[in-house]
Amino acid sequence: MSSPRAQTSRRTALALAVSAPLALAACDLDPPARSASGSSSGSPTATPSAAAPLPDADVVEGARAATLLAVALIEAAQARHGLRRSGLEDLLRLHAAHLAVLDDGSPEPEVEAPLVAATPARARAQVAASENGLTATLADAAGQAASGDLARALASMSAALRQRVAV
Amino acid sequence: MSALDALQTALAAEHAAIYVYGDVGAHTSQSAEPELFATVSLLYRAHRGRRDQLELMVADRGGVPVAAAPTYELPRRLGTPSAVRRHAMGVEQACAEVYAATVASTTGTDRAWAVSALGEAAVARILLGGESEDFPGAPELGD
Repeated sequence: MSSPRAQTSRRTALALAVSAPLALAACDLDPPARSASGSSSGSPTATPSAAAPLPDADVVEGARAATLLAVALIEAAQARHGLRRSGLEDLLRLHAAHLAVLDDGSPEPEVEAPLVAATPARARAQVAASENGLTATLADAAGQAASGDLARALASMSAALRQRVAV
Repeated sequence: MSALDALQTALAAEHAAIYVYGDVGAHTSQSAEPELFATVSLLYRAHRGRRDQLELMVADRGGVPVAAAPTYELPRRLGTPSAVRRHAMGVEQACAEVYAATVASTTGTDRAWAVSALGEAAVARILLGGESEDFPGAPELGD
């Protein structure tokens, strides 16, 4: 069996991106300064020069790829086990909303869905583990972002997933 | 906003939350609503813990931790469990928005702490019976 990919959700994400893009990777905010120890210094630094590469492009791409991978797993689990009306639709909708915010206009990262567990129960557990991992990935990405606004958005996305995991 | 100012704002929010949770707890019957009482007690302790951490964080950065106000505005009626839940959720919503702003204004360990605090405030909403959100603390992102 070939691995399904996240085409449906990609379309959804792109459609949402038309209505509410944040263009986070543009980094139009003053990022907080970083001290040598990694803690806050309390005053913003100068914004990067126009010629410099966008400082958060890798952060955004990583967050998009991780989210798309989670989407791909959910869709693969649904395709294999027919897990309809199991709360997974809410996760797909949430991921689409997050992808819309992360859409910076660059090509979407290519992801392949991982193999799905053999039983529905294990597939659900696999999805839960995936969502847990994504929660941590987005929190880590928030810590890495140079843009304060991007960090805030990523932290909020991580918190939204924590709410689902807590249920 | 500087990182120190953001931490002070978060500390002020925690002072307010602790005050309100004290009132909320006083309006929650341990015998009639044991689950709600346990949740309110848990969240009250969580806010006290974050307040203590924030005071240390502010002091470590050379600031004088902002003191609690003498009093805070409280709802006139908290006579039902649903009113208690609703009011506590309002506190968590306010804290989530403050912590989201703290994330934006800090870096390093301060930001990591704020990310965690935002997640805790978001989960508190669920513990209180609230609906999940798409962007806790940053609702305008979903518009």
